[in-house]
Amino acid sequence: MINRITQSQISKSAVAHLAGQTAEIFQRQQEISTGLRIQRPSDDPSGMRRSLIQKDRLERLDSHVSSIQFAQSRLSQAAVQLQDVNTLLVRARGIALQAPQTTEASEVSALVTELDGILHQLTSVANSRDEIGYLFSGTASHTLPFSISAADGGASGYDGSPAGTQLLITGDVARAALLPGDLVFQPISREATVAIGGTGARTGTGTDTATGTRELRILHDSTTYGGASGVSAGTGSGPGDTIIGAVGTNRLQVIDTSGNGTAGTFSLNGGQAVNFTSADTNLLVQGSNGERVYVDATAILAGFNGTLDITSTGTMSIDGGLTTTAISFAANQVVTDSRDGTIVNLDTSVINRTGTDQLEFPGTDDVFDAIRSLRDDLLNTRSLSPGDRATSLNRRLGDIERVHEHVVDIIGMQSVSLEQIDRLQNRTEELQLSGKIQYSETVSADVTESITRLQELTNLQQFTMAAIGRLLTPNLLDYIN
Amino acid sequence: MKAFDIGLSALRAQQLTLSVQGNNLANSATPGYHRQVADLTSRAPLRDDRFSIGNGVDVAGVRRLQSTAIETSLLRNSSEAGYSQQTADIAKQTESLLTPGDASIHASLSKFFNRMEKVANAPQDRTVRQEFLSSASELMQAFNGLDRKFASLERDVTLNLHDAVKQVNQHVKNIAQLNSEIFRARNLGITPNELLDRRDQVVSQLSEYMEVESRTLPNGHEETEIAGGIVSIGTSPAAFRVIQDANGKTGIAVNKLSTVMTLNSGRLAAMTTALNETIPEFTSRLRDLSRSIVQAVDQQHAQGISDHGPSTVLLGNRRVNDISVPLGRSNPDFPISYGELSVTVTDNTTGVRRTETITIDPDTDSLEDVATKLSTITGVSASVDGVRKTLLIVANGPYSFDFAGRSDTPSDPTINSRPDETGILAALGIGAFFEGSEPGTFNVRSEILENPDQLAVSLSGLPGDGRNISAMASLRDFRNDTLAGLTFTEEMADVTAESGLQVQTSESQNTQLQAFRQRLEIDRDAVSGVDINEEMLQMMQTQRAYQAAAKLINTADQMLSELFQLVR
Repeated sequence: MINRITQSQISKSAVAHLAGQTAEIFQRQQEISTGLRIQRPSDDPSGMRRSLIQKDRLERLDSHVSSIQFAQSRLSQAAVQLQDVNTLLVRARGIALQAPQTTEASEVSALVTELDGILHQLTSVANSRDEIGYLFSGTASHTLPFSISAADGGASGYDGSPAGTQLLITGDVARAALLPGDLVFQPISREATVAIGGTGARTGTGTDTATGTRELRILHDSTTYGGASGVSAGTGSGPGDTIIGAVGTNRLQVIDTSGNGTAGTFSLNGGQAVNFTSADTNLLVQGSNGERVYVDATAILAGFNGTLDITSTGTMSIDGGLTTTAISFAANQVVTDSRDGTIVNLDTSVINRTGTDQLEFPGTDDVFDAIRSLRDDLLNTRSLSPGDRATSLNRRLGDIERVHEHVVDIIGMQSVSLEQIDRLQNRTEELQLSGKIQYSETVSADVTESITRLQELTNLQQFTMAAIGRLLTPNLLDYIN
Repeated sequence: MKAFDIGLSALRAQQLTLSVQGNNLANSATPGYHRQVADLTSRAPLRDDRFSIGNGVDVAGVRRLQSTAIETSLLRNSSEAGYSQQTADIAKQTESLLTPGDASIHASLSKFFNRMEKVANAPQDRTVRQEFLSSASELMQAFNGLDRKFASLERDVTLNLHDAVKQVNQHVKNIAQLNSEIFRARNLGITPNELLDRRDQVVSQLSEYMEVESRTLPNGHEETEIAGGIVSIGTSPAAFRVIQDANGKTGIAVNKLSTVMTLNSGRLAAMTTALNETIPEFTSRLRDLSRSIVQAVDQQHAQGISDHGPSTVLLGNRRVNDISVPLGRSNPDFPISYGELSVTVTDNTTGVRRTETITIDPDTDSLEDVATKLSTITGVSASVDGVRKTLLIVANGPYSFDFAGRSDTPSDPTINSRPDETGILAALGIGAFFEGSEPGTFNVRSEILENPDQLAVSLSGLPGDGRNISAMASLRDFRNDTLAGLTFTEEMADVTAESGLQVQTSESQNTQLQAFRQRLEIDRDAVSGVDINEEMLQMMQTQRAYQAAAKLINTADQMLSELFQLVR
C-alpha cells in the first residue's frame, strides 16, 4: 500500500531534518572552535567522568612538580652553603697541620685571626636563610639555628629543631629535604674522654654526655689526722691544704723532740722535716711532691712519736664552680655540668691533689668548637705543657678531620636527596606527559573528522533545502491555469 | 422531466462537495484538522413503468477521516514525549549547574587539595597559607552556592508545576465545554466535525502534560480519560491541584481528593519525579560530599598543632541536641563511634609531656560524661555549655594540650596514627578547620581566616613541620564509605557524569519518541491529512461532474424546447 503523503508532512519532515542537521552543524562548529569533543557532561558522560579525574590528576601533578621544584631550590641553596663549609674546613685542616710547628707569636696570631674568620664564616653559613626561613634550623624554620657567642661571635648551641624538613607528596613516601643544623654541624662520634692534669683524676667507666672540653676543678674541703697524737688541722687548712685523699693516702710523721710535746718535727709523705713548737697554730708542711698541709701543733701529746694517716676531703666541679660535688673516692663518680645538664664519669679514687685538670671529649666537638679548640690550643689558653699542647693540637687536627669528613658525608647525603628528588621530578613530568595525552584523548575533538563532517552536513543541508524547494514548488496549481 | 431533478441534485451535491474540498484546502495547514469527504449517494429510484431509474444524487453526510488507533498512539506518544522533554529540560538545568569550567566546583575541589599540599611543603610561607585558605573558602562557597542553586531549581520546578496544573485545568475545562457542545450538536443531528477537531486538538495539548485518551460512549457522549482512567472528563470539568503527601512528596490530586494520582507520563509526571527524586538525589549527594570533606578535614585538623603550639583553650563549634543523653542519641553533626581519644598534656615550664587516653562509648556516654572523663586528665578541665550545648576544654596552670598523639619522649618523633578513634573532635567541632553544622552553611573558621598561624599544619608546633596538613592533603585519596567507596574527586565526577547521563538518556528517549511521532504523523496524515494535489484532482472531478450536470439540464431544456416548438 502506498501511503498518502501530504505536502504538510513533507514540509514538517524537512523542518525536522534541517533542525537535526543544524544542531549537528552547531556541535561540529563548537568542536572545531574549541578543539574539545566534550563541552557538557551530556556530550559523553563517561568521558566527562574520566576527564574530570584525569584533569584533577594533572593539576595534582602540576602541584607535585611545584613542590618538588621548591624543595630542589632550597636543597640547592643548602648544597651551595655546604660547599662553602667544605672549603672553610679544608683551610682549617691546613692550619691544624701547620699549628704544631708554629711557635712564633706573630705566626700564631695570623693563624688565630684566620681561624676566627673561618669561625665567623661558618656561623654565617649555619645561620643562612632564604625567603622562607633558615636553611639549617630543621622544622623550626623561623628560629635562628645557632645562637651567637658573645665571646667570639661564633656559633654556639643549636636552637633549631632536631627534625629536618620533608618533601611531602601525597600518595608518595615522605622524603628528607633540608637536614637539621645539629645533624650537619654537630656530629657526635664520641671517643674515650681524656683527662689532662695533676690532680690524679681519671676517666670513669660510664658514658659521658659532656662535649668539647671542660675544666675539672678539685678543691680542698677539710683535713683530719688519725691517731691520738693531738695533731689537728691548722687555721689555714681549709683553703690552704692541697692534699686530697681517703684515709692513709697521705701520711704525716710526728717526732716529739722535746719529750713534752712543746717541740719536734713534722714530715709529710716522707718530705723534708719541719720543726714545730706548741705555739704553731697554722704551720705549713710540704711533702716531697710539693703538696701542702697547714697543721695546728698546740696540743701534741707529750712524747708522741709516730706516723699519722691523713684523711683529706674535697669537692669537684666541671661548671666553673657553679655547683660542686663531694669527692667520694670511688672508681666511678658522676659529676654534672649545671649549665647544660651534661655529665662526666670520673675515677675519683686516685685523686690526691687539688687543682684544675682539663677534660676533653674527643669526637664531640661540633664544627664551631673544633675551630675554637684549635684556635685556643694555638694560643695555649689552657697553659698546657709543650708536650700536652702538641698532643692536644694533634687531637684538634683529628677533630677537624672528623667534622670535615662528616660535612663531606652530609654533602653526599644532600646530593643523594637532590638526585632522588630529580628522579622524582622526572617521573612526575613523565606522568604529566602521559596524563596530558590521556586527557587529550578523552576530551579533544578530532578536528579533521569534525571539518569533514561539517562539510558533509553543509552539503546535506543544501541538498535538503533544494529537494524541498523542488518538491513543494510544482503542483497542480501550476497546471490549473 | 426527471432530468431536471437529477441535474439539480447533481448540481447541489457537487456544490457541497466543492465546499468540502475547499474547506479541506483552506485547512491543509491547520494543526489538528482532519480532512473531510462528502459522502455522495444515489437517490432512491422511481419506478417508471417497467424500469427503475435513478433519481439523482444526494449528499449522505460529510465524513471526518480519522484512524482512532493512530490517534490514540499519537496521544500516548505525546504524553511520553512531554515527559522526556520536561525531564530533559530539568536535566539540562542540573547539567548546567554541574558543567565543569575554570571556576566550577571541580576546579575548586582540585585547587583546595593542591594548595593544601603546597602548604605541606612550604608550611612556613604565609602567602601559601593565605592562598590555601582562599581556596578552602572558595570550595565551601562553591558547595554552598550549588546548594542554593539546587534549592532555586526546586522552587522553579515547583512554580512551573503550578503553572502547568493551571494550564491542565484550563484544557480540561475546554474539553468539557467542547464535549458538551458535541453532544448538543449530535442531538440536533449536526455532524460536529469541527467541534471534534477542536476537542481533539485540546486533548492533544493536554496529552503533553498527562496520559489522556478520548472516546465516544454508546450513548453519544464524549469522554476523555486521564491518567489511565483515574479521572474521566465528560461534560463536567475536573480540577487538579498540587499537593504534598505525608512524606513531603509533591504530587497531583484531583478535585477534593487528597490522594496523590499516579502519573506515568506527561510533563506533570516529569516535574513531580524531578521534585521527589532527581533534584533531592543530586542535592543529597552534593551535601554528603561536602559533609564528608568537612568531617574528614576537621578530624585531621583537630589532630594537628598550630604554630602557637599545643592549645590552652578549645571551644567546640558544633552542638548536640541534649547534653545529658548518650551521644549516639543526641544527634551530633557527624557520627561518633566507640574508641579511645588520646590527649597529650605538656607542662610548659618543664617541657615534660604525657599522653593519656579516655574511652568514649556513644551508646552510654553523654556530652557531660565526656567532659567529666576529660577532666580526670591532670592539667585539663572540660565543661559543657548548657545553653549552646557545646564542649569547652581548658588547660590548667602551666599545662597545654593537643590531640596529635605524640610520644611522651620529646625527642621521639613517633606519632599515634589515630589519636582520636571516635571522630568526636570533628563531631563537636573541637579544633576544627571548618565551622557550620549543615551543608550550605559550612565555611572556614573565621579565626583561621583572620590568622593563618592557627592552621594546624604540624604535629610538633613548629612552623616548618607540614606533616599534619600533608595528612589532610592525603585525604583526597581516602575512599569514603559514605560516598560508596569513592574519593571526593571521583564522587564529584560521578555526580557530574550522572547529570550528563540524565540529559543524554532523556534526549535519546525524546529523539526516539520524535522519530516515532513523525512516523505516526505520516500514518495519521495518510488518513486525515490534506493532500493539495489530491484535493485539486478531486476538485477537477467535481467541476467536471458539475459541468456534466449543467449540460444535463441544458440538454433536457433543449429537448423540452424542441417539444415546445412542435406544440407552437
